[in-house]
Amino acid sequence: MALRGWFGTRLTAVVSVACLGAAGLVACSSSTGSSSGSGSLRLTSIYAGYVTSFQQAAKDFKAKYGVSVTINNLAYTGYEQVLKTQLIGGDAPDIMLVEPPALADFEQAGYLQPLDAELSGPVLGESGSWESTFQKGLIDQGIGLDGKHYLVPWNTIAQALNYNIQLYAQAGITSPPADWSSWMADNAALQNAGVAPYAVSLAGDDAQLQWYLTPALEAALRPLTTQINLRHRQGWNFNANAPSSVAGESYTADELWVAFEKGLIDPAKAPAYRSVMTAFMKIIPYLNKDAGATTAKSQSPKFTTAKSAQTTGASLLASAYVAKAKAAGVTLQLGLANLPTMTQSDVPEMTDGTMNPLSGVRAGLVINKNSKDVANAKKFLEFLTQKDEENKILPLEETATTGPEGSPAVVGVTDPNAGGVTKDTFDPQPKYAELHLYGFGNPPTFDNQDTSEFNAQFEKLIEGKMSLDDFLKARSASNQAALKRNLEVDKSSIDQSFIDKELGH
Amino acid sequence: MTATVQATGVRDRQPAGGPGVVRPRRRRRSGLIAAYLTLVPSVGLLVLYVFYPFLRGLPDALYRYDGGTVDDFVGLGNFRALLSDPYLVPAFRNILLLMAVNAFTAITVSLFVAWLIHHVASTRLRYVFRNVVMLPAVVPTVVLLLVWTQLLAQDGAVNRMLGALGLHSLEHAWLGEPGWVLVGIMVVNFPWTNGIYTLMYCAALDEVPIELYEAAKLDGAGTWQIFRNVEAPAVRGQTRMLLNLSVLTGLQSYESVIVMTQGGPYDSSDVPGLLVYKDAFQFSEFGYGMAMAVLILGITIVMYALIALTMRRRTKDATR
Repeated sequence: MALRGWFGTRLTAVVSVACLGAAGLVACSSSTGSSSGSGSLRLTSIYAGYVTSFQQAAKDFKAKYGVSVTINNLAYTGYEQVLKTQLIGGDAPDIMLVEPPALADFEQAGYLQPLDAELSGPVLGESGSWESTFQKGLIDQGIGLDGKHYLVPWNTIAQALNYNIQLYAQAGITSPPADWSSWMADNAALQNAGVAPYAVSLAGDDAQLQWYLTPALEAALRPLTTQINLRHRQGWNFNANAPSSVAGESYTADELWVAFEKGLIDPAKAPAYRSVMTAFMKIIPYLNKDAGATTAKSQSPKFTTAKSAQTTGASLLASAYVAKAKAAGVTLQLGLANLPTMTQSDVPEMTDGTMNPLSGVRAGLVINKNSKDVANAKKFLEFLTQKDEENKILPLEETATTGPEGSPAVVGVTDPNAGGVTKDTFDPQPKYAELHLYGFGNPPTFDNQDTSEFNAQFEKLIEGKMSLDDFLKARSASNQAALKRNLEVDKSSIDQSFIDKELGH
Repeated sequence: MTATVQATGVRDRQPAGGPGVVRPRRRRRSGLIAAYLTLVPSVGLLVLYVFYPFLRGLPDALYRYDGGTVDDFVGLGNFRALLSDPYLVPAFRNILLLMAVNAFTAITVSLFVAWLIHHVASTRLRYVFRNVVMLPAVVPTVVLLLVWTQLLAQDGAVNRMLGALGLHSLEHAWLGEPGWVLVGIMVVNFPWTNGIYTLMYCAALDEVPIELYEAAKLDGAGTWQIFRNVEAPAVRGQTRMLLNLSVLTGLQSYESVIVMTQGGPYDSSDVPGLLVYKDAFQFSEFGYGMAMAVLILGITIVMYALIALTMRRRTKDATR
């Protein structure tokens, strides 16, 4: 008995220590496997529906070049935090699919590999530059604050005003609104007809209303482009009516700081900012009263079950809305229109054209600067974005249940999800030159902390808990703090002598 | 009985079974070593996954570190910035309120339920009830929180129930109005029966000798007097321990806030743990986040010491 007890104790001890050792090994090793070495790469997607198509591309790449690519997927929610943790820990994948807001965050922290040389060069031995294979204007959305290209666009998205044709007819509206004033009149007509004009969500920092605000601000501040973009290339000529006139240009951290300090883009000082906000606030009476408590998830069914007449969403989700309505027993006649644009009658400072459609890069591919095989990572990106390869793999995307995440960014690639829109007056092509102050799809903020502060201030403004004056003052303070942080983060690329000269220091 | 100190320094105790029964020295030592080795995994995991990460990250509190290009020594700069952080005081106010209410409801309700179970006549039924109160503990916390998010929605079950009872004036956007969001978070875990707390109280009440009950009844004590003079003192140790646990876990917790409200509406439900998360992982201010974590640790230690001191003083007073 004593012997068995002694043996049992010793065995338990040995097994326990072995388990601890194993736990220690697990703790010390990476959670996603060791970093890839030469001859193998890791790519992480953030849309589960793309994994199958990426895996096919990886298979084709291995067959042609002998380099294997492992495809992982991260849950979309919180992917930025997960990737950032991996980048800091040195365990990040070689190639990452990210959205433009993440690009700014990662680029400023120095995690990403610039791709300027590759983009301007021929792709995989073919004629023509790699850059020229993408739809116009998209490549420039992958430029960081230091002016270098980091992101290769994978797909695009365009936000549209989705409207219920039957509910419009009930209010006597025969065509969608072309501009902001018409839209306010239509909303009033809907409300008078007893129809909820617009169900919007603010809880969870949903971006629905921001999609109107940022393009309006950028359009209103467009006349100041040449006063902000002071460190432009030699011989640059800005033409507001020619989108291509800003190709290759971008605002840098020091330019934005100077512009802010001069009051050009300071919310508390810029007349254009106040005019846009004043016009924007005219939508508030037509919003659902519970906007602050409504999440995006609970807002969407209000549109698909015809409880509200309009919603804002990606144009490519139109068929998904119709399908959801059908599942709920509702026949939804859906129309699409560009987001109603503010004009000079709403914002006197909007003298260089109105809002561009809110369309641009949905997600793109970036390379981890610390990848052990940057050369092959670049080669895989070039291979993946070849027209023939994309046409081959895109039909494999699994979009049946969630809907597509975006339309292809490469010229000549057929969009497998193009069908399903019943009525379309929608045109996603930009009409005016745009150097994005705030980034595509972003609220009017300059970093994540600014965004967090904006969400709180914006919600208070919409719910009447904050006056416009207080909102503008709060925005000014938040913007200034963010721009100051960006100066510090980008200190290696800013020109202090430029700042001193412009601000008279 | 004298102990003989061996050359190795191992004190030679009298073995069980009385004098004359001597166990071999090597087996005694290896038994001792084996016993300590079984402790190694628990302590080791604690060190590896709790102490080491914290100590490893502690110096970051003295740096402005963004995980990338910014890595500057700022000394106590992060702590000085904490003093002027407009979000800090409201966050601590929120967590202290949540912690106080959660601790109160969890302890009192668990004690009450344990008391009810303890006084069920049938042993089998007591066993069944003990298992029933443990059932919610097997549901993952995040799942519970997500379910409650739906229940507390504007058109959720809670408002519908209030409406059905004619209490329309009580219907609120529980998680969408700054004045009610903390109430909404407090309501989560209703009926506030913490299965583990309840079981601990059940065990403590089971230890009360039956003779004490009989003696109290003979003296004419009623239910309340029996509880106050017999049962409450018996569970004092458990109450102190559970109070300490509530403080230790409550001050740093933020899972209910991050799942249900993410600190909204407009930061009105922010708590310090969430601020640490946001500062580090959303704003890339790892140094500042670490400084805040150190502050939370300091406050937790102070509160823990205060509770321990208060409870010890009460115990001394009670035993005089």
